[in-house]
Amino acid sequence: MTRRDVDLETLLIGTVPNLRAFANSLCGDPTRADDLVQDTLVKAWSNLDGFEKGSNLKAWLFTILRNTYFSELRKRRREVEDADGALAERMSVLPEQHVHMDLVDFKKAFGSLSDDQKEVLLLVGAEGFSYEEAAEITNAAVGTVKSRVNRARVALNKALGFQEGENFNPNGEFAGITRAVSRG
Amino acid sequence: MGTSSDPKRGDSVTMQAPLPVELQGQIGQRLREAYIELINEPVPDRFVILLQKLKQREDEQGGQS
Repeated sequence: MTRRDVDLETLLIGTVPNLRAFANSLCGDPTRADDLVQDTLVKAWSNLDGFEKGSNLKAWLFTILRNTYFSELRKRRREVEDADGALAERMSVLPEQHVHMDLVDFKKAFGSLSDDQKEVLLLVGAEGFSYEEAAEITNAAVGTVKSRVNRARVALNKALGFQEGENFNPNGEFAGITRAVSRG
Repeated sequence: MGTSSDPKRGDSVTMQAPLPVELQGQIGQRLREAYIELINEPVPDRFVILLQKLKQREDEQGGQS
């Protein structure tokens, strides 16, 4: 049965925007990101047998992409023994485009996270994968993923200096505390 | 698997207090805004062409089941 699903091509092309967004956010270099996506598609196509029918295609593709990214990264780090903080230059940032200031600041802060933190935050916070799925994709324990997401959030919050109560809003419990405190 | 030393657990076991929900929300919102912007970029032709080629190659080699 070589007859692959007729719309495999369509399915894969449908995931490209997400794969590109993820790759771009991870490595911060659009050209490299597109190469990563290309590698991912080629690998996926030729390893289709490794994909279990009925499981999550997107999760599988994300797994291939991040594995490709991290193994490349390890290779590069070994090659370039990091002359004069070249590493710092390579620190990725979500690419800047025409956006308002908030987002520029956000992207800068995001760029300062570790790769481990970036990837889980993207998977859980941006792509909407569950902690369990993210754990599978990144080959880490669920507890590790949760703690990385939390650290990432704490770091971003620190960098951005968000305060509770700045946005009018939701969580009654916290609003209550703030009120109680300010009443002294 | 993994009774004695579970390599998956190794790092970052130390817990940090979670961020208040409200702040998590603000961060999540910025993150999604930045991300959606990337998702909305048009897909370059190279990917459509690549998949067509992969499919073509398979069709040519095809038949052997």
